[in-house]
Amino acid sequence: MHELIARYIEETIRHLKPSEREEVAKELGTNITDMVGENPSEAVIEQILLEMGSPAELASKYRGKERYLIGPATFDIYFKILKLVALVVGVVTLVFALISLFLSSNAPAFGTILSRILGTVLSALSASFVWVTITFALLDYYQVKMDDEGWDVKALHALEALPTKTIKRGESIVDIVGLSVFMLLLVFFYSMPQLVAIYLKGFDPVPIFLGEQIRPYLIGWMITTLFTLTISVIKLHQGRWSNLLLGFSIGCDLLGLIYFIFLVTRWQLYNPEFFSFFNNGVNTWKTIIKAGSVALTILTLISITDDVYTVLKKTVQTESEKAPVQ
Amino acid sequence: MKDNLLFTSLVSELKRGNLTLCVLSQLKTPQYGYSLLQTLSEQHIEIEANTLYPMLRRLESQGLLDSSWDTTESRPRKFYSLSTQGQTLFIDLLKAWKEQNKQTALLLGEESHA
Repeated sequence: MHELIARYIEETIRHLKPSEREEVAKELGTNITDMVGENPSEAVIEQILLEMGSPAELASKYRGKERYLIGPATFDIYFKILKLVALVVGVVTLVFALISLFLSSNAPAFGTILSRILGTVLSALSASFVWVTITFALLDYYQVKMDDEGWDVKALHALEALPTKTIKRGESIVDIVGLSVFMLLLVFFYSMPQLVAIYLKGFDPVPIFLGEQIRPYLIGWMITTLFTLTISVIKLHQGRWSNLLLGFSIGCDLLGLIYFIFLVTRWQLYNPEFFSFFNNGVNTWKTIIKAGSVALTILTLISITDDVYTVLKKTVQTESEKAPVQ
Repeated sequence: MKDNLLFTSLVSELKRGNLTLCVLSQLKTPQYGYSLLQTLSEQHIEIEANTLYPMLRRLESQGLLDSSWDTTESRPRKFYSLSTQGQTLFIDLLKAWKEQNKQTALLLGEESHA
């Protein structure tokens, strides 16, 4: 076989799966040799190879499908998630970079602060970019389907009430960012419970809680926060209320509330020094905490009522709107 | 110039769908890549070598063609022919093609009268 043909084939099969290479090379070799005829001149060979097109293109025809890191079917959802993750990670690292700077004892120059914050945020952003991309590339490689399967017209009928039952994107995003920051604060709290303390000039900081006792309770709090965070992500993804989503959302709100009240009324978790720090006495503190819990309950109930009202009112409205049409 | 390019790409799109049918039709008797290319070009069916060779492999992997290496000649060649499944599918495909041609001709015929 002519040297040029051999090189051409070698270049082509390089792009193919190893299991296919030998067979394709053999077959392509005989076919091209047939095409150039007996005792071909260099010019004829060049002409034929030009007609065959570039080895990469030929190889892609042999593969039969284009190769993508992230294919067109997945790209939209990939880009959506990338933006969301960038926003959440950006805000969360920014907040934490600021907090850690406030906590650091020595005060660095403004330029140092700025470059340190920028560095932290940028490295967190690029790390999240890498991980989201790798995750999606793997999903794509193993052909995991991201679309909802079995779409039918029922889905369109169900969308009738869409404009009135929308969940605002902005609200969901604010929830997600806020909850992520809160989640990291909890992790921070878990690792250094003594930092949640009363700081007064001239006194040693007085931790509010007893570190060892509070930790298991914090894990529970993280779990309820994760639930709420998951619901927020679902809200952002769905973009509209459904009865099921409303149910889960209310469930999460109530769970969070009940857990919070349960936690703050475990009196054995408080640092006795904290109770006695202000000359109020234990009972005053208990009253304040109970009052706070009641206030929080009222706020949560208002928020739940608002959600329920949004969903139910709109449903009733669409039913009455339907009547004149028929 | 631009219109010309558009025309060329539309024509090749028009032909592309029929290529599989043309290739299958010629494989009732075994053929190897280059001989099939010549047969088709003699019948004025233009198909690029870099389209035909990968297509043969694909049709084989889809179970429509059988292949075997003939090593009796000075150069071994890979011969393809219709498999049983390929024969059945070719008949169905041919029917579908005829039906579609009929409908298209009817439609276009009416249009030219108008």
